[in-house]
Amino acid sequence: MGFLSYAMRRAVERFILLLGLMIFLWFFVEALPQLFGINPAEWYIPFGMLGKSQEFYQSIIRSLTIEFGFNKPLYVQFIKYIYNLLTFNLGYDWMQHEPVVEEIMRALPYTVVLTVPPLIFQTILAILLGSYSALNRGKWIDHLISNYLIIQYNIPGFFIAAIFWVLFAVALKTAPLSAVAVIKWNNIGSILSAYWLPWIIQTLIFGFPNRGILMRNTMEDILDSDFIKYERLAGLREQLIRNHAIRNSLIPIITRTAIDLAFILGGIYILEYIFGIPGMGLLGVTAALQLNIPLLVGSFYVLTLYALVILYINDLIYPLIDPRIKLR
Amino acid sequence: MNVKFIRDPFLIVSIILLALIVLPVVVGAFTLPHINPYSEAGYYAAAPYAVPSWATIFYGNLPPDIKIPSSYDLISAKSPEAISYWNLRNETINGDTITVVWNSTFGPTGESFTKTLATFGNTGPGSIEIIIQGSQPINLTLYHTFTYNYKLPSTYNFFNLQASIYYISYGANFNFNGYLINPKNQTFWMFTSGNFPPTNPVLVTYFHYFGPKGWNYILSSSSSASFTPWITTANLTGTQLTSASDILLHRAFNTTGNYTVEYVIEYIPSSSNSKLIVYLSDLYFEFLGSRYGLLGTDENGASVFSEYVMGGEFDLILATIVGLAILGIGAMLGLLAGYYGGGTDTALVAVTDFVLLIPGLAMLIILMTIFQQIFISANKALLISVVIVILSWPPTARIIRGQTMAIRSMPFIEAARALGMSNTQILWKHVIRHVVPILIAQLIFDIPAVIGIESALDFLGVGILTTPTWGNMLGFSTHAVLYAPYYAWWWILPPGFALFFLGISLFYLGEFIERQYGLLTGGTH
Repeated sequence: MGFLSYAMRRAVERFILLLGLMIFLWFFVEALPQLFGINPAEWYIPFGMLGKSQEFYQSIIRSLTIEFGFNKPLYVQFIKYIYNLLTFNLGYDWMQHEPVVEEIMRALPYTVVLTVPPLIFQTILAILLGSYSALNRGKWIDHLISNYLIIQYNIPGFFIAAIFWVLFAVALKTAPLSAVAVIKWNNIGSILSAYWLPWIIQTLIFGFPNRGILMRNTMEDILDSDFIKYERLAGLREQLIRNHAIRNSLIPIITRTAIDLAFILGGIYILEYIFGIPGMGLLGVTAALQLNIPLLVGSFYVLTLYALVILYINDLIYPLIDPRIKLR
Repeated sequence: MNVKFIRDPFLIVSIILLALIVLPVVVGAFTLPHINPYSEAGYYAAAPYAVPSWATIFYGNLPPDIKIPSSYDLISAKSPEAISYWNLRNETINGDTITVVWNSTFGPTGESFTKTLATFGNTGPGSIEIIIQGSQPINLTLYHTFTYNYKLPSTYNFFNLQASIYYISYGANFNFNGYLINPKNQTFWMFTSGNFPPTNPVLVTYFHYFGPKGWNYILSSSSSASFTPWITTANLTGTQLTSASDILLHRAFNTTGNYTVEYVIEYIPSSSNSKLIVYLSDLYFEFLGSRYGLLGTDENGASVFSEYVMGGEFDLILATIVGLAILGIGAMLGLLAGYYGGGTDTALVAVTDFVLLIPGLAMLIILMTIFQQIFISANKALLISVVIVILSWPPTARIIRGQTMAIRSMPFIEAARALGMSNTQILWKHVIRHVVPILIAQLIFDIPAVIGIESALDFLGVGILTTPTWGNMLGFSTHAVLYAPYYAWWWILPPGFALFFLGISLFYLGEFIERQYGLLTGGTH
């Protein structure tokens, strides 16, 4: 089977997943409320307008109902909904008075800057710690590293973030209380001062312990494998053998990192919420707290679409990294 | 096995940690009264941001709560000792006779007041009955003295003076006033009340008028000093008026020594056969202290320990129920798919793939927001549970499916089949028996995971906010840290460490069980 047909097949599979996700979203956000007799249009207008005259409120509800097609049968709504999502017509945010897409585009850079550097740091750190631990298998340093990784895995991220924030931002005042007022894109100093602490936390909490443990266990298996034993018997230099072992252990780590990259945007709600970084996470939380449904659903859709695209790219790259894998 | 058990240091440590986290919750759940610390009824166990009692080793001799009187029976006049406590007796002053009796059947009811841990009202039968008869105006004083020998109060302390009163008047007017007198003999006039307005027009604003019927409740607090008659005597400048509460507190408590709480009944007869009968109860002074209990207090003066207990109780029960639900669904589908394979298996893999693809916390936030709008009257804890179950059963199902598939291909299953056992029999007799350890381990892994997810929702303010959970404790305390003294560490650390220790100890416990039974499939973490 050729690479092209493999790529096509995976594309179709990923698209089916996307479709499933959109159906899921539509069902819960638009269909379910209507089955319970609630007009979702009522959710789309800000609370502020409830105070105005009943007539004004009704006219807005009516115009929204027509705009979103809530007066049409469900299947017509469904087709329209899917079409809107696929064309990035994510609706209008009635609270901030701007299209949802614009808000998302504005928030995205903050999140990218928050997530990408830690992903690199933590991958390197996980490889170093994991391989060092595997090479010293059974020694106290191995126990120390493994158990540190397990403990790190089990600390709730929001506890670390809250404690670090209290310690460094509130008590020691070495980080801003809220990043939103500090960050200026044309000033690298301001970016560093706002981001250094969230970067450290993100490095520690997101996926790092998993990858460290994965690296250690893979490396352990590889060090036990026949080809390493053979290399040892053949009298190769230890350094060379280690390099071979590490290189072979990297494959699952790379896969894992790519998967983590896909879901990285889903894990930043708490960090952005605590540090006041106006990215996708804070956008989602404020949307949920203000009951800003278009923004909530729009930001979620973008997150998931991004995850799917990264997973698909991952599908394509994977056979190139690991030639042993059979194209399916 | 026993030897192995003892030699596993991680197991011992994790059991100790687990006990450290869970025991206070269990003990507290059975001993503490179930008053919601997030409602007014749970406020003011002490002043806001009181440190834990034992933390006085860091902060010196901080004042504790000072309660005059300190027992409920004396406060609510359930026992006749209340009379001597307030230094009352039968006597004759200026020819007026004063008779004091304890009335065991008549007591405060029907008062409108806000119950906190520092206020008492509507305490029911039991009151001090004072009968004053005669033609001369006299003052009758009720007082009690206490010693204050602690550090002087901080911004957050305050004191309350309160009373419940009922009267029957036969041609007599009276005023009922409350005072605090400090060791320097400075008097602080906390409230003035009675059945006729004062002649001084300035005082009218601060006067509490009693109608001829029913019980009256008076509460005067230093935290609302601008509503006390003290403000007319305090000579405050314009800018000082904005911080009157602080000034009252620091002028009153400016030294150590003996303080006196005083209630005065001013009897003003209009004729020679005037008579006044006054029923008093809930006579109570409280200075809200800066140290309290095991874990101090939060921004409302509610006990952090009772929040910890109630939060832990809620979290552990919810996590166990949700964990069992996840396990039930996951085990059923996993067993069926793993054993029978075919269409069931394909469907399960597709559904789990799909759910694993969704960014979990994001989906949880959306579903919670939508469900709360659709099912407005539904229990929030139930909604959270349902949403977590919907999104969390797939990984469990996958693990159990893997384990089942591994068992299915083992020789003894083939032997059983060769012996003519039916699929159902094999499933019940052999497969389930071999899956049980992984089910237990999975439940142990699921519990901290569920608590973690639920806490994250509460922390962000999307989940439960009106009753304590460890997540919302952490959320509220993180918000309060900016203003709180000493960064309110006694409030922010307990729920955080509880979540943390629970996570590690249950993880090691689960690992131990998996290792004991030498499970076939690799670890999931």
